[in-house]
Amino acid sequence: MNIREWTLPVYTILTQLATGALFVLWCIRTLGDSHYGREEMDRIVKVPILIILITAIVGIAGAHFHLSRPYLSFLAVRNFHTSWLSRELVYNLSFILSIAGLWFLLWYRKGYTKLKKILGWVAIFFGLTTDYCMARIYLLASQPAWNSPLTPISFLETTILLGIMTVPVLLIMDLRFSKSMKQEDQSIRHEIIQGSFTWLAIIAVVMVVATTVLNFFQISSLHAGNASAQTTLALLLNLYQPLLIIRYALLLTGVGWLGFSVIRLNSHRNVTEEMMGSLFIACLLVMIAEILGRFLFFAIHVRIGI
Amino acid sequence: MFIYFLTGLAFEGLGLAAYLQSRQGSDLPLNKHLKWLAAFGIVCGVTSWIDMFLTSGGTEEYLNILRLTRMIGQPLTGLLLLKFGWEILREIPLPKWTIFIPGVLIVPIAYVITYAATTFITPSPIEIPIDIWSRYLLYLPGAIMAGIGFLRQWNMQRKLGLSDVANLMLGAGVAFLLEAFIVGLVVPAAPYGPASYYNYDRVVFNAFTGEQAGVTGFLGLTNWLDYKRILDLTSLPISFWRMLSAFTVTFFVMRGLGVFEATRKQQLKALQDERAQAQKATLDAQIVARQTAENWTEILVNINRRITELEDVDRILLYIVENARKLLRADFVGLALLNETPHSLELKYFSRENTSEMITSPVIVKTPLILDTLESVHSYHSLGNEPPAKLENIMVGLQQPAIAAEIVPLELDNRPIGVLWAARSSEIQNSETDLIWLECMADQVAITIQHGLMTAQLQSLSITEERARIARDMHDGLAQVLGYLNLEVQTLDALHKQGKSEALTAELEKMRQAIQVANADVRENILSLRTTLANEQGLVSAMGEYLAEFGIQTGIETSITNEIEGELNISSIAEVQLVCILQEGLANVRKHAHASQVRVMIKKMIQKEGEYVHLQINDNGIGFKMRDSKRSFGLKTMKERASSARGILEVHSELGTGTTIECRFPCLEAEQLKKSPAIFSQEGRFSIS
Repeated sequence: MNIREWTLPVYTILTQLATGALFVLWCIRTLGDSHYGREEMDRIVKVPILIILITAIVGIAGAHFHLSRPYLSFLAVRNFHTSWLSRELVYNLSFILSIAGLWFLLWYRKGYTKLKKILGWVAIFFGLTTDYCMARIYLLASQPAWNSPLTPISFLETTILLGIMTVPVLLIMDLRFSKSMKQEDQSIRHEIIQGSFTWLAIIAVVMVVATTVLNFFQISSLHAGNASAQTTLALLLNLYQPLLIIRYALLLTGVGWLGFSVIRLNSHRNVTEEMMGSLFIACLLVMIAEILGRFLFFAIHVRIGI
Repeated sequence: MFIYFLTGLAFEGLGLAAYLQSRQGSDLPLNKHLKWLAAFGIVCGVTSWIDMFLTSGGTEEYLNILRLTRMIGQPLTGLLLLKFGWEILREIPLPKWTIFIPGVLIVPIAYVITYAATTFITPSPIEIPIDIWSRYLLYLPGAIMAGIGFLRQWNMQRKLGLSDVANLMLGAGVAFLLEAFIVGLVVPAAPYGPASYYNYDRVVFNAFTGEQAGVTGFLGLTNWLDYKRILDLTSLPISFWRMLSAFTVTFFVMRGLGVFEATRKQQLKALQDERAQAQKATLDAQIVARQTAENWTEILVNINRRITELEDVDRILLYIVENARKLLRADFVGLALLNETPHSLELKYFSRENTSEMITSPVIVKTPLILDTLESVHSYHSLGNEPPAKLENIMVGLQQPAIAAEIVPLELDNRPIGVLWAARSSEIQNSETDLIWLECMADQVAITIQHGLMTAQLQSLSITEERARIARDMHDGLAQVLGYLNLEVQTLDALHKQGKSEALTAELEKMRQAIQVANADVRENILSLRTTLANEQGLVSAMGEYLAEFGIQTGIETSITNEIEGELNISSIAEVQLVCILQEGLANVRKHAHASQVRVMIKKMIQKEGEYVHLQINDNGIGFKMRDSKRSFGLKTMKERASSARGILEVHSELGTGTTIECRFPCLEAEQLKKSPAIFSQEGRFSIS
């Protein structure tokens, strides 16, 4: 793949990362409402929301480098009723606008806690819809490697896994920042981190198992497929085999690292802030693994016909 | 080949210098990171020498071993530099916003690493992507972080005043940034990333399509990004520039390591300055302590002198209270004495800013802390953390609340007689020494009161003595005359019976003379007894009246010259002795001098020792020989009276030239009189019950 083609993994991964992070963060926020109060939870998600918004904007900006005439990208919305690409664009813009609105309310308006909560879930809806539309684009009969229910499932898996890996980094980063700013709600942040990270690690392990099973099914279906599928399989197992191995190695290492970090966190409760480096590495490894996976997704497709 | 050797030499030198410095040890945090710099220098030097051996050729097997070693050494160099750069960068605490940098960089880092991983499946030899990505991913960020780290060191050392070392740190920072550019960014040609056009092989690829392109490249950028073009300008290979960069880095870092020596010197200088400051502070403290002790000593000496001079007790006590406040730098000092009937503690004297007074109307002290201290007979020293209510009303007449106080009970013959206390509302810290000094003052108060009591007893004894003297005088004078007259009457009766009229007349004349002498003595005694110091017009006026009466009684012409304006300013005992000496002197004139004129002069004289009140009694009588004066009991008594009040009495006389008696008494110091004008009021005087 040349650099222009690399814009597709950039866009898809970043959008799924933003959606997944927002989803995980909003689950924690919603569950924490009853324990710590909405105002308190809103204060904690303020900074992470800003980073998620930037990620989503960078993602869609990166997608424009894939286009021959980026300045005409807005014309794509005209085919909303017929094109998954148009729908993806519309829902992605809605997703970004929803997060932007949420960011505005969180940073500049006190109160409106219910509205903020609803807006968050609306943004998640738009994000997940974008993911679905994104996956539907690749469900083409001419592309056997893509034309499978595994494509939207793997996109959803990436969304959730990246969200699970990213949110701990965001929360620890926010904890350190709030401590450096001498904010008073440190204990609540600690409680949230202690309470949520174990579940996130467990879900991450489940997601890795699911990913492995999915890939097994993909390889099996390619093996049973037509000539194009065979070619794709040959590419995957020959030319790109080292990358496939590296991808799984990184994925397992990253999730394992998260698991060990959480175990250490639970046994030494005073090391929460020092976990930043450890969680960063775990997240980085899984992110590289997912980008490699997306690279392989684009690299191994073989078109039927011209 | 020679260039690679020199490059390796430079880095080995850098590594060695850093290693030796790290062995020396230092308090500077930079020292603990030097091991990474040392390792980087050594590995980098070895890698450069491997390049040298690769260019010199050899068997394929030998070259493969060298290539393999280089493939390990190249990323290891980058890793070590990355580690050193990270450590030196965060040695000085980073700004708060940098907490978010990992969150912002995680996605780009992930993409770059993934992108790098995918390039390894290209058909080019594996050492090319290893070379390129170890430079891009390790060496470049490592050198940039090291550069920024040294620049931050430059800023810090500049603030610490080590400008020479700071400049070398600046040089090292710039050198590492240059190293990042030349070594980290300039790579072999490859169809991916910046290497596609920013390389020294003059092979240009379209980075977007990966296809080989013309030198104009994307948006014309390759024209100036083409490193080969720059190299062509100087006709020098990249290895030369890398060698130059290596020497620059080595030079500045090795010189910059002087920061350890400079810091040691600075620490030594700081210690010396600290010691000098401590010495100065000690000296200052000693001077202050000595000054304080001198001040206290001076005041204590003054108090004792006043006691010795039998100065008024009220004045002495007020003097103690006022000076205690000044020396303790207190806002209020009070002296309260126990009153027996009714049993209460009354504030008698107090001192506050601009006011020191003796209170005439009783002010009952009811502050529990003071009463408790009086009862416990133990001094109280404030710790400064008492609740405000505890010290409430302790500063009588002042609005502001006290925050600290020292209270000392007064004892006389193991009986409590009152309390002396000092209080302050300011933040000046009180010390144990303050309490000791206040206890000292309390002792002086007790001594003053005891001395006052003793003086009163002495005065009582003097009265008794005076009565005895009068009785003796009456016995020796009037009683003798009356006895003599009784005998004379019997003689007259006998002469009358015998009819001896002439003898009778002669005896009558003797009786008349005897009666005249007795009359003069009695009148003089009456005059003496009548002349007291209680004259409202003052002592000199009383002396004038006495002299005038003396003239009338004796027929001697008298005159008095007073050259003193205002008060005499001598002690009360001196005043008494002055009057007695005048009376004794005039009695001698009447009895022995046969003078027709007597002049009295009173004035003040200033001599070397100080000011004196000078009294002169001069008559125009018959005089006497000075050697006879030694046998005179009256003159001896006068001299004793003078010396008892620290005075001097001199007598000058010759036969036929009259007699002059001169006597002088020392004046009290002016400042003792100025301080308490209210002390002279009659009703407020210290009374002994």
